[in-house]
Amino acid sequence: MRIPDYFLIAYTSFNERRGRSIGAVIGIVIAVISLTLALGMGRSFQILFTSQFEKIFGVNSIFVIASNINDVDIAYIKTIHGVEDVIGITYTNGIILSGESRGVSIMAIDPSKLNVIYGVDKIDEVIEEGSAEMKGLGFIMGGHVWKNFQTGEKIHEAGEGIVIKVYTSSGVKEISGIVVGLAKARQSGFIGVNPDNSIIMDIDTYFSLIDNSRNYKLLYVLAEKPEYTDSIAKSIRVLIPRARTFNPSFITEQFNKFIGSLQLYLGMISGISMFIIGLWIFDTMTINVLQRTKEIGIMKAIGFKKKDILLLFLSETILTTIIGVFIGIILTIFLAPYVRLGMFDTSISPVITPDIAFIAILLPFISNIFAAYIPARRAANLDPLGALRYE
Amino acid sequence: MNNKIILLRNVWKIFSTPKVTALKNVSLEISRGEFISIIGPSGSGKSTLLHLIGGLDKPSRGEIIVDNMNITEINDDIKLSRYRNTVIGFVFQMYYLVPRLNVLQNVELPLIARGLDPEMRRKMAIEALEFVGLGKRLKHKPNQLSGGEQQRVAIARAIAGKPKILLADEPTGNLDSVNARNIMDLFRRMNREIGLTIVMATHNLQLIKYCDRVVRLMDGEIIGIYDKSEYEILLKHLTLEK
Repeated sequence: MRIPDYFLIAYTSFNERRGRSIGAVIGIVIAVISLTLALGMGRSFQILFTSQFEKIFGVNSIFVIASNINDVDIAYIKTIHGVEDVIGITYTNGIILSGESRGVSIMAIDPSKLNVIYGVDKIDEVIEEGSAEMKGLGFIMGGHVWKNFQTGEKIHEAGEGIVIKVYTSSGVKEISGIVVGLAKARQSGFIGVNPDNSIIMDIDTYFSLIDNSRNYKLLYVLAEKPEYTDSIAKSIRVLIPRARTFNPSFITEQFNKFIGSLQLYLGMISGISMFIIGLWIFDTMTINVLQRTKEIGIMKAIGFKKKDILLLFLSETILTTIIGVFIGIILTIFLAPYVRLGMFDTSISPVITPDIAFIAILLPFISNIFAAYIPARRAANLDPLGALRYE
Repeated sequence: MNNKIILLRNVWKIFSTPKVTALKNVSLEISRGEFISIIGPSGSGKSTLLHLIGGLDKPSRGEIIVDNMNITEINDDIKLSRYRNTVIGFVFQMYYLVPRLNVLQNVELPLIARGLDPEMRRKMAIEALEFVGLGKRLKHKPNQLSGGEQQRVAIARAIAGKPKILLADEPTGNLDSVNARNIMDLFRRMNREIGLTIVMATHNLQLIKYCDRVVRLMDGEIIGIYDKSEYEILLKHLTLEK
């Protein structure tokens, strides 16, 4: 038999049993839509989370937290394969005494590396007012320090002189300086200390005025490629056993695995509808075989093979599934932009990627063919005489 | 080429549940181009004999050779299906047309099973339908036709693939006398014009006049084979028996 002929005969049967066929098609459409939207929403969440996470922490960065990291440690870390740069940071707590008194972090960093922390090419890009020249006692105020956090009102200005009380391991010190620049809020996290809530100063000034131990509390290690971060983190833990490393790309990887499991779970819940459709197909096909027993008998008598009968019945299921899946996918593409879920100050819509579409197409075919196979095989194995005599 | 197209040698058919011996040691030879009628009362084994020749069932014992092929030895579904499709054409009392298919599609069915391309099978189906006088009813559904017309569609379906043997099981059983005569005229034409071998099972004694020979079955056994010269005596005998 030629393949188009299977579908030609299948179509006549589909058309004859229009009511049940349309019922099956509607079921498949619903199953495809629910499965595609569930998987698409999971994928959308994954994309959003990953992009937010990467935006916040950077995919090729490793945070190393430990007390008493010194320049020798940094020099060692720089020798690890794949390390592009190591930025030493230290910080402590303080209180701004000028104007409205408030607690802040005092963050110290090499001024030439500040742009890396902010994720920009030039630090000037994040300076709202003033300059980024924080030499000596010139400070930059983080985005949440120079304005009232609740009202948004500006409470400090560039060029303003300030006095800060600084808490160190050796006691409390008061230092005076000038606010050279006001930074924009970074709006992203950082491990150990948040630049937005900090007074940022030159690390050499910090070591000479506040803490002359020259110990760093935090290292921001940049890898040449994101895939190096895992091995770099391991090497750092070997070099500095007391250090804790935080590797964003590892977290992203773990999260993606979690989302993969979540998607599978969502897919399984949606798959219940596939199972119900499978039962429907099984039931329809069983009734179909019973009603057409005589027809099967005559077909065998005039030369149809077992394989032909099997494929004829499976073709009906395939035809029903093709129609259902086609309508389901078209409707999903149309509906997806209107399905929204609020998340991270934004809202997400399901993303229909080719792999999701592939699953949504493949799954109904597998489940329906599986469901139709048993009655179709029963039809194929019918004895022609018994089928002709069937009442 | 062997002139005998059908050879039955010591054929037995015993059904197990309930145990019924439908055919007992039946031996028969049928020549190419013969029109044979198998007569006998209900349960005499007429249909069983046709089913065995048609490859729809297997004998319990004995062998059946059709067109030089020992069909009792064919166990492969593909070969048996090809045999039914190319050698045999079946006509049943109940027509057995597929109700959702139109006349043309019904006649095309065995050609679809053969895997012919649409153009070829359409041509062959139309040719068969024209032969039976239904060339203008191609798009009608079976339920739009009379019983006689439906049987003619079934005949067209049986001969569309140009089989060597037509097996007809009570082909006029559901028809009035006029339609029965038309069908028999058609069979005679097929036999004479196409040279088709026809084996017809019937209990209608009026039909035997169309046939070359009559095989009489009783309780699964052949109790007589008659040629045309013996029909008159046979009919008198059967009338007296009744």
